[in-house]
Amino acid sequence: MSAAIVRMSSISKWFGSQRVLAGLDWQIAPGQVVGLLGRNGAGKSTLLECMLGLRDADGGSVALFDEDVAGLSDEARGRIGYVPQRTDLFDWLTPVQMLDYFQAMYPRWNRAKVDGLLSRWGFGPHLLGKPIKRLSGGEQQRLAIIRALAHEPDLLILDEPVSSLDPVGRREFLRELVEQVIERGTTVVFSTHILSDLERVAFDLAFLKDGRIALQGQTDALLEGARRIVVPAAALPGAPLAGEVRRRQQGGVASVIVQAPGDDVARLAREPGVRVEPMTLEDLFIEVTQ
Amino acid sequence: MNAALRDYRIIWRTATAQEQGRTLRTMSLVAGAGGACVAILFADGALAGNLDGIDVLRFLVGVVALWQLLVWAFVFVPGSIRMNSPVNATLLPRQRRRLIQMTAASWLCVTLGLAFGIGAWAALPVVALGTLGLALLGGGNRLAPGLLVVGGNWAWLSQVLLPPAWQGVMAGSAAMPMLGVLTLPAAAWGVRWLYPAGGDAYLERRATQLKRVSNFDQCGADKQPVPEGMAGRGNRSLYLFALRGDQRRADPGAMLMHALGPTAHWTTWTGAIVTMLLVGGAVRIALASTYGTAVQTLVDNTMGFGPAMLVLIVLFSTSQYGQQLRRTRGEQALLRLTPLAGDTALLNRRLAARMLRQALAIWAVLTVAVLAVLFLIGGSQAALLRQLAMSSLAGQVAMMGLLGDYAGDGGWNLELALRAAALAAVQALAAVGVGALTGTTPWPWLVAIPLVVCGGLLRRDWHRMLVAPPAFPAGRMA
Repeated sequence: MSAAIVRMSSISKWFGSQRVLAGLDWQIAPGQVVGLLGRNGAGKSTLLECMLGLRDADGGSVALFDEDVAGLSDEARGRIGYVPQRTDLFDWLTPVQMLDYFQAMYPRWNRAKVDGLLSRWGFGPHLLGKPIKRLSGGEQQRLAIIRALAHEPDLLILDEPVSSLDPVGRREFLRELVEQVIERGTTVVFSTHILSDLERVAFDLAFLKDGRIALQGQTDALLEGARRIVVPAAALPGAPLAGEVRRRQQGGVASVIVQAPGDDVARLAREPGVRVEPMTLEDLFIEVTQ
Repeated sequence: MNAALRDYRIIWRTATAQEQGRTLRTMSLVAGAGGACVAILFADGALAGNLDGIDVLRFLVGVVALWQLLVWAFVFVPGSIRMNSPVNATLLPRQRRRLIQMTAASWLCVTLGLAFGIGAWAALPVVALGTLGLALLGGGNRLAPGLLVVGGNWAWLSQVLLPPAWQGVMAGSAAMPMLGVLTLPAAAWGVRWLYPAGGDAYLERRATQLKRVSNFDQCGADKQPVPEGMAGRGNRSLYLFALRGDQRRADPGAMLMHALGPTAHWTTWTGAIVTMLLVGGAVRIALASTYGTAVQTLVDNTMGFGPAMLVLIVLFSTSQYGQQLRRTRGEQALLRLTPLAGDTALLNRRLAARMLRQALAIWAVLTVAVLAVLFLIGGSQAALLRQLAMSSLAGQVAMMGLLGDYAGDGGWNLELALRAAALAAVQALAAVGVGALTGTTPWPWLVAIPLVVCGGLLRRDWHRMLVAPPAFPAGRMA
């Protein structure tokens, strides 16, 4: 793996007495497409904002492109694209005025790409001349995505970018993301609750739980290797199983989630009353983040 | 505690909890500034040996009543308007009745307090109608601002506009009893307007009323109000013209300021300044062509009141920076990530330089414009000097929250407002003292002292801002 493009070490963040990030370590390699998962309030947005230096972490360090995030060079900033959860887009301007404004701020701006995206995503002359505050939530979100893609960033951070899009809009966005961004080798960090979207585009998944990355791996490997073992509590060994992620017991029955099960799981599966089940991404999400 | 008191307590808490702290801080600032102005007059009176115990009591009661009025009209009333939604007005037991009772009681208290503070019970109807007008303004009544302006200027407007035969009735000694008779029905109508019992008319007006209410409690307020009227549209056109120019030049400081939106841009003042000058010119023409020296004398006599009002424009000339810094954190986050923003020191220096330059220029232009208006309507030299002194003091206060650590505790807060009020009072007392020592009026000193103080404070704040963490996004998106 080449040098990490994002390096977060021992990041902690408190809101009052509540600890949101707890000594989090995370590295993202160039070209990696990571889906960030976590329950509501788990701290995904806070994590992404700390990653970009928009929030000051209470402890730890963040480096992007090998530069400390607090002192990013102009060149490094020009390589970052960001779609925030709330599309704050200078809503007193029209889309054309807003895009012209940002064009003046970036040395590299692909006007043809912007025009192409605007036309493909239904921004006709009428919408382009309308104040952004009068656009629908979905239209504003598309515009935020176009703005973030326009300078062809090397690192693209998307904080729930499709939450306001309808299924057609989501599909168009994902197609664009795969064809124009991921195939170009852009590193993408993508938080969403729509798991089917993640399965389509994210090569890697990271689960945020209790302020840390609780589980991370390649999507296919995670889904292929994830098993739920339902076993009589008495038959379950006290020591953790190989690849054990979590274990729960309800009455006399225990449920163990393992990732990449080893021989001990194979042996356990042969015991009477033991059931080994494959898991969907949704199952995995629930089990890891609960 | 009985059931009624419990109702009042919960309603008060709910209504005042809806605002986000900023309105209360603004109210503190206004009350502090008002208190400081009155303190100047009192200090002047004390030096001349014209003060007694009852005057001090009046002063204290007046300031407290002013504070109550502001909190009631601009915190409680907007909050209670939100609570009395058409559904709640119809279906929620007791709430509407309690709101009416609380509003009526508050109105009576502040009216009596202010009338006592002023020391003129004869003015009670005027005070009562004025406080009612302010509550209606806070409640989003469309006509209230116009009525307040006309009512506040009635003494001389009636002289200018009405035929001589009517002037005695409408503005002379007979006017007060008439106003007194009008007060109770006006109050009854006002309270019913504030808290309607529901119905189609209420449903229809609700959305626009809430928009106007948002101007005071800032709950759910737009980041940028839609420009209204010719001046607003003119400002907007000029803003877009300036934006295009800044984009062409890619001037980083100017581009950073655009993150705060047109409300914090210098172009937002152009319409107001042009309107002010036009109104001044029109009044000048009206005065010169219709009436002679008698009205001119009346105008000159009202100059003491005029500057105190016009000075508020200067006082609040920087308030939009802090407000917009809080409202546009998302935009600032996007901008912070652009190459043009520069590193921490550069971003802060660019922002500070731009804001400072703009705020100082607006202070100067507003002062000149207000002086020009006074000159146009025939203010005497003494009135012009008074105005200049008040503008100088107000400008110094306005600059106090301008620069600082926006990532942390930058901008206006209650502590800063109290410090500003105290500092203004100290400067006023110093000016009175130096004036007494040198045998002059305090006004020239009140021009000079705030300028010196302002220079020192800005120098300190400038350095504070330079060493602070990056200003964008302000408050770190909290």
